[in-house]
Amino acid sequence: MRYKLVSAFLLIIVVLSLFNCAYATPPYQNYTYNDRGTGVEPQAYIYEGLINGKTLGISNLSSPQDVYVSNDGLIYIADSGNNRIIVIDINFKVIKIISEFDNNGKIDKFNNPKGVFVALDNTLYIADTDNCRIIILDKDGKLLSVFGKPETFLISSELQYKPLKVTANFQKRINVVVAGMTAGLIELEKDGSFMGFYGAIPVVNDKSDIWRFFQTKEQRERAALAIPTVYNNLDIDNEGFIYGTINLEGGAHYPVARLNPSGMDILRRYGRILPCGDPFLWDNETFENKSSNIVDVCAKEFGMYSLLDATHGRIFTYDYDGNLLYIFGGYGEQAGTFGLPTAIDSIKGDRFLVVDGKLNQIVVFAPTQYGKLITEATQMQFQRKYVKAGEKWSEVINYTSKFAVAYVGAGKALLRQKDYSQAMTYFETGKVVNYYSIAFSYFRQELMSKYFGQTITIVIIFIILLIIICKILKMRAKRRNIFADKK
Amino acid sequence: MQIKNSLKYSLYVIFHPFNGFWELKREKKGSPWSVFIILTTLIILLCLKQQFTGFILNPNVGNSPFSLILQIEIVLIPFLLWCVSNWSITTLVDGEGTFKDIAITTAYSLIPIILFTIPLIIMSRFITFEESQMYDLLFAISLIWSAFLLLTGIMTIHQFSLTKTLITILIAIVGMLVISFIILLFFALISQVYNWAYLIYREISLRNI
Repeated sequence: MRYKLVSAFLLIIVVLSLFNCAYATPPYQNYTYNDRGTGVEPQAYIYEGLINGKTLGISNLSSPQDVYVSNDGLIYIADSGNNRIIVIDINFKVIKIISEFDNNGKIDKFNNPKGVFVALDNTLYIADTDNCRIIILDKDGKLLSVFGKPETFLISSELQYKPLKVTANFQKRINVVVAGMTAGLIELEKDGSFMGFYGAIPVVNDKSDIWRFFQTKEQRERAALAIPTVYNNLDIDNEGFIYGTINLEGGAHYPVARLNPSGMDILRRYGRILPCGDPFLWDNETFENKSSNIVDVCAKEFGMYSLLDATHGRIFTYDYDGNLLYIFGGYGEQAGTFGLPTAIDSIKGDRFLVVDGKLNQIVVFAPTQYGKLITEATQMQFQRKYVKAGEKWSEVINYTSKFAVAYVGAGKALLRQKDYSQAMTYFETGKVVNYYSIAFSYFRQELMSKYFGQTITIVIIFIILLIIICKILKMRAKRRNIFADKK
Repeated sequence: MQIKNSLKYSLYVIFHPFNGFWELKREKKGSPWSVFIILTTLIILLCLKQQFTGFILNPNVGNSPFSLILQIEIVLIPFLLWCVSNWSITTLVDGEGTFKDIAITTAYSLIPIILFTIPLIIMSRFITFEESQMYDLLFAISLIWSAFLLLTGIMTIHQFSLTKTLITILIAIVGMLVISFIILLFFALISQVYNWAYLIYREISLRNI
């Protein structure tokens, strides 16, 4: 008997160990903000690999500050500390290293280049920060032009001109993020002449407005000046709109802006929370608000964009309407975490590259099935293929039960397919009153036309019954009164 | 039977407030039991309202677990605070109403809210977002009606002029705040004393003498 027990026990252990497959949980959580605060969701992106000096077979990177994936799939890394630009292909093999160029006959070098951008025709734009200039190379590495500090009285001569990031649009106009420039981005003409400032952030002063009324003149003078905040990064999407990220410390309203050609912020903000990363996170140990500090933005196709947060090392992805889709990343030592994330870009809207400026590496993230489904659904929704998007969203719902965006997407598809009552349930789960109301009004209309005859008949019968009952009661009361009088 | 009559009488009061409240006081047509029944009905109706109002007007339903205690507190605490505060003020300025009168008047003036709640719940399940203004309008009417009844009721039972009533009501609202502040202070102090006693107890019990 004992042998039987022992052998059965051993057998169970052996069988169980067969099922004990190796699996890895990422060292971070995916969550979204919903009507109950936050809800944990399945992982949308997981760690895929690392790119560093070792894997590339070159000397170690040193404080890389930017990455840009060109239209034909080449990855440009601004290896700022080593004053070079590394070009690798999609399989992460080195194509070339640009560390010097021919400047009118003499060899010229970069000095701490912090920004890199590649136009559609593979022209390379480099923000050569400590040399105070912008360098434009053609696809073979030949120098096209060098733009120093723009000559205009609008930029104070005392300002150290430190271009941090650069982009160029279809007309080859250049937009530059300059350190400490409070007037917005600088826009340069094709030939490098100064065009103007672009997308200046309005001064927000609402905190002190009431108090200023009570302050004395001296107090008012002593108070901190309301200086507009500065841009810290930018990206351009395939429609030519510029996404700029803003440091919130100066009191700007939004950490990210989508600028139209006249410099107006046209970002859609219809999500449950603003597209700003973690809006408010209370740290119980330091008693501080540890909300996000957005340092980079990656504009993807179909209106999706991702924000990189340096407070917690998280990447937040939003759709065109500003709905938060998923979150991944974090600080730490494990694979898939960062020492200090500095820049982000995506390879064809699919895999993410996150530059780690402290550990001198680039972390590659690949989408899970869940992440892919969300991307597909969002893209179809953007293309107004609501029914197909709805199918994808209902697949997403199979993975998670709390993701409001998925319910709303699936509900919209059902609304198109005239399944109003089911659409109502979905909108109710997704907590969107306006769409629920639309579905409900159709539902009501349908019911009314279906049961109009019966309803009216019942109402008329009811009214007639009421009248009869009233009359009977009155007659009774009269009779009683008559009897009472007789008595 | 008397309770039934006094509840029936509430329907007369809400349409004839001056006469109604006068007779409530002078001819003792209201009873403390009717106050109890009215408040209980109000609590039950508020619960129903929270649970069964349509999604369009109540999108946050089910976000937090339903709490009966909370619903009771929402009705009872303001009611008691108001009665105590109003009584304290009006006795000082020669109001004729007793505490019982004030409680009965306040409860009877809540009748319009009670009457409107069920139709509002039913209505909320048949209207769209665009039509929700109708709902808001009806709800506002019930509130204004109740407020008007409360005003006339207080005026009648204390034999005040309109300005005097308004001023006493304002002072009574300030009084409610003061009372709740004192109660909070009292509880904070009590908990401090309790903590202090508990610490001494622990100190003694943990020390190996």
